[in-house]
Amino acid sequence: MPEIIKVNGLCKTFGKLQAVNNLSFSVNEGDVYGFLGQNGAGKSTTIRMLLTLIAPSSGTIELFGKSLSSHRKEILSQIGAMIERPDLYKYLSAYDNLKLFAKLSGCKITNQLLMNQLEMVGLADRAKDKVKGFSQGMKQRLGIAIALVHNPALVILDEPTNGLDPQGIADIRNLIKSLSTEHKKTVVVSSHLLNEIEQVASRILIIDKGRKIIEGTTQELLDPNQTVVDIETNDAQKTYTLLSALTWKNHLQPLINDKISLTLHKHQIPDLLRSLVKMNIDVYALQQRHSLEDYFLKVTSGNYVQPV
Amino acid sequence: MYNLFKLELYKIFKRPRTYLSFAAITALIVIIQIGLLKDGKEYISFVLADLGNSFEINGNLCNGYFVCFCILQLLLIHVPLLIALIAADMISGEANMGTLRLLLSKPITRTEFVLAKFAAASVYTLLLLIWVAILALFVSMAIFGTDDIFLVKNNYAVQIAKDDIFWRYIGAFFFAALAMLTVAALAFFLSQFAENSIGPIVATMSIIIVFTIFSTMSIPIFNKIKPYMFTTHMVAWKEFFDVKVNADNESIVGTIQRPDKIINSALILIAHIVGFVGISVYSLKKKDILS
Amino acid sequence: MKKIIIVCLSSIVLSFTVNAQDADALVKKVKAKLEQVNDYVAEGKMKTDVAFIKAPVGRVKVYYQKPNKLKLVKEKGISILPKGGVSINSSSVLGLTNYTAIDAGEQVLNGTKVKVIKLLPLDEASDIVITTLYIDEGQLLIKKSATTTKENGSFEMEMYYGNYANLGLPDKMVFSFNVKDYKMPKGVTLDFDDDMKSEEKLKLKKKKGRVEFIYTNYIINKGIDAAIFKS
Repeated sequence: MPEIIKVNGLCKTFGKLQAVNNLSFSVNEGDVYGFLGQNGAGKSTTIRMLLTLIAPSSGTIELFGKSLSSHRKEILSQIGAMIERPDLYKYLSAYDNLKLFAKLSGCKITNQLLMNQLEMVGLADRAKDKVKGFSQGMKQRLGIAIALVHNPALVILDEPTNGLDPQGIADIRNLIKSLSTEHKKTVVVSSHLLNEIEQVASRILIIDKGRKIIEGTTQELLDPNQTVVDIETNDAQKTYTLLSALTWKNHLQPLINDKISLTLHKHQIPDLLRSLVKMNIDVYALQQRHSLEDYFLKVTSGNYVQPV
Repeated sequence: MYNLFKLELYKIFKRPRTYLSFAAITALIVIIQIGLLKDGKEYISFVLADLGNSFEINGNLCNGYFVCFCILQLLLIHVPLLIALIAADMISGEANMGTLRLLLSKPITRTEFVLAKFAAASVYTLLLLIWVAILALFVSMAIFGTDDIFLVKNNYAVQIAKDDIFWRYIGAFFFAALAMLTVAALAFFLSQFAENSIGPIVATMSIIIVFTIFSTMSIPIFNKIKPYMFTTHMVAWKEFFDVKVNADNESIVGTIQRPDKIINSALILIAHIVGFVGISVYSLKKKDILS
Repeated sequence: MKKIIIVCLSSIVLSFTVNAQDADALVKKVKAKLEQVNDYVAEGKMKTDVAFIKAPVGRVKVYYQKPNKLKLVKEKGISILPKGGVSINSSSVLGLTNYTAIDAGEQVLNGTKVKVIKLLPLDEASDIVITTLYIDEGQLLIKKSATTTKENGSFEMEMYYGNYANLGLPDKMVFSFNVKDYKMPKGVTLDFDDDMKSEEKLKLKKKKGRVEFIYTNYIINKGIDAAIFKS
C-alpha cells in the first residue's frame, strides 16, 4: 500500500512549549488511522500542520508522495478536513455553506451532488435552514459533508464526535467505516473518546506531550493478554482471599473499594468463572474491559514500558 | 482568486449586519436632510455667523450641493465605524466562527485569501460610499435644488459657481473612497489579531478617535505629529471645494486652490492602504492558525 | 431674489445757502439729465472683490424705474453684497430731496477735471452723514461719490461712462466699502487643518472690499413690469 502521509521528525514549539516533539509516522492508503492522545497531547497541532494551518518548527511532511511545503495547493485539493467544532456561517443555510466550501475546493458543483452530501449526513430535509438554528451535532455533520463534498482521497477528522450525543457518535462511527470500506478513502481521525477509535481504526498512533508513544495496528495494540475482568460478588473480601490462594494470584490487581479486577488472557475467563463457582461464590457480574481505553490510559500515564 | 473574491462578496452581502450599515447611513442622512429642510435658514445663519452681519448673501444657500457638503462633513467622521463593522470582522469573524481553519486548509494561498478578502471589504466600502453619494448628493439635489455653493473656511469664504461644483463632488467622493479604504485597511489589518470582531472594531475606532483628536486640536506639540497621522489626510477631500483666484480676486472656474495637498494626502493614504494590506499578507502568511 | 438695494437716502427738506447755489444748480442739471431715463434694464457682470471671499463673476440684471425703484437680479447663483446699501445707480445718490449742497472746489480725477460737491442731508434721522460727489461739469456726469453713513460705514462709487454717457448711465461702476476682519470659529467651519502661511493670512486682512458692475447692454425706457420690483 502506498504511503499517503509520511511525517518525519516533526517538531513544533510555541514559545517555550514543545507541542510536538520529533514525531514520525506514516499512513497508508486505505487506512483508518486513529490518532489518540489526551487533551493537549499535540494531536490538533499535528493535524493542523498536515493542513498547513501551522508551520512546523522542523521536520518534513509528505502527502501523496510530495512535499507539503512545495506542493501545497495540489495536495490540499485532495484533502477534506473537519477540524474540531466548526460553527460555520450561521447566517447561511446548510446548502449554502456546503456550496460555498465546495466552490472553494474547486470541484464541479451540481445541486444533486450537494443534496447527496446532505443526504449522506442526514441533513437533506434541513438543507434550506439557516445554520444558526442547528444543534452542535448537526453542525458537526454538516462539517463532515463539507469535508467530503469534493470527493477527497484523504479525509482528516479532528475530534469528529466532540459534543455529539450517543446516536450522533454512532452515526459518525458508521460514516467513518463506510468511508473506508465503501468509498475506499484514507481517513485520519483523532479523538480522545478512545473506544470510538478502537471500533473504527485499522491503525493507531498514540501521542503524549507531543511525543509518539506507540504506533501499530489496532490488533497489535489490543494484546489479548491484557484483558481486564471486573468481578462483582456477594463477598469481595472473601473472593479476593480465595483467589489469592490459587493460581489467579498473579493476575489479581490490588483490591480497591471492594472491586476485584484481574488482568489475564481472554481465553482464561471461562476458567476463572469455573473457579468462582467451585469456591461457592455468588457472582453477580463479570465484565470484560480489555479495551484500548485501558491501554491508552496506561501508555499515557508516563511510566509505561512498551512490551517486547 | 476571483472565485474567492466572489465568495467573500457573497458572504458580506448575505449577512444582515451589512444592511444595518446601509440603514444607519440612510437614517443619518435623512435626519440631516429633514433638519435642513425644516430649519435650513437658521442653520445657514449659524454657519455664516459674523459674515452674515456684514454681508447680505442671497440666493438658494441651502441648496443640494451645500446640504451634501454638510452631510459629508459630519458623516465622514462616522462612516468609519460602519466600515470597521465589516472590515474588522473579515478575518476575526472567520476565526470566531471556526471557518478560518476550514478556509485556509483549502487549496488557496494565504496571499490570495487576504487580497480577496480586502478586495471584498473594499467593494463594501465603495458601495457604502456610493450609497452616501446617492442619498447625500443626488437626493439632496432633487430635494433642495442646485445653486452656487457658499462655504465658510477658517480664514476666508468660498463661493463656487453651480456649474463648477459637480466634478468637485466626483473628486471628493473618489478621495473619500481612499480615506474610507484606509479605514477599511486598518480595520482589516487589526482583524487578524483577534478571534472576535469586537476587539478590532473598538481598536479601529479608538485609533481613529485618538488620531482625530490630535488632528483637530491646534496645540503646537500636536501640530508636529499631525502630518504623520492618516486622519489629518482623510479630510483633504474638502480641498476640492476651494478655488484659485486671479489677480482681481475672481475665482477661476475649474481650479483647485491646493491640488498639491490633495495629491500629497492621497499618496499618503494609498501608502497606508498598501502598508496595512501588505503587513496583513505578511503576518497572516507567518501566522499559525490556532482558532 | 430679495431686494438687495437699500436706498438709504430719505427725504430731506431743501435748504440753500448763497454759497451753495452754484453747486445746487449743477446737481440739479445732473439730475435733470438722469431724469431722461424713466426706466431701464441693464445687463452685465458683477464681480465681488473682498479679500476673504472667493467669488466667481456672476451675470446680473439691474432693473430701474423712476424715481427710486431698483432691483438687482443675479441670473443664477448666490450674490454677496455688503449689508446696509449698495447704490448701484447714479440716480440713487441724487435721490435726495432735502439737502444742502456745498461747493468743495475742483479736483482731477483719472485725468478729468471734476467739481467736488458735498451734500449734507438736513433730516437728522437720515443714515447718511455726508455724500461727496465728483461731477464732470462739461458732460454732467457723476464720476465718483463717497458716502459716510451712521450705521453702515463709508462707501464709495466710481462710475466709468461709455456708450450711454449721454443719458448718464455708466458702463462700469465700482462700489468700494470698508470690511471688518473675517473671523470664523473652527467649531462652525469644521475645518481643523489650518496650514495657511501667516503672510497669506495677512493678505486677507485687506480692509477695502469692492463690488464691480460691468454693464454690457441697456434697454432704456421700454417699460418694466412692476411685479419685478415686488418679488
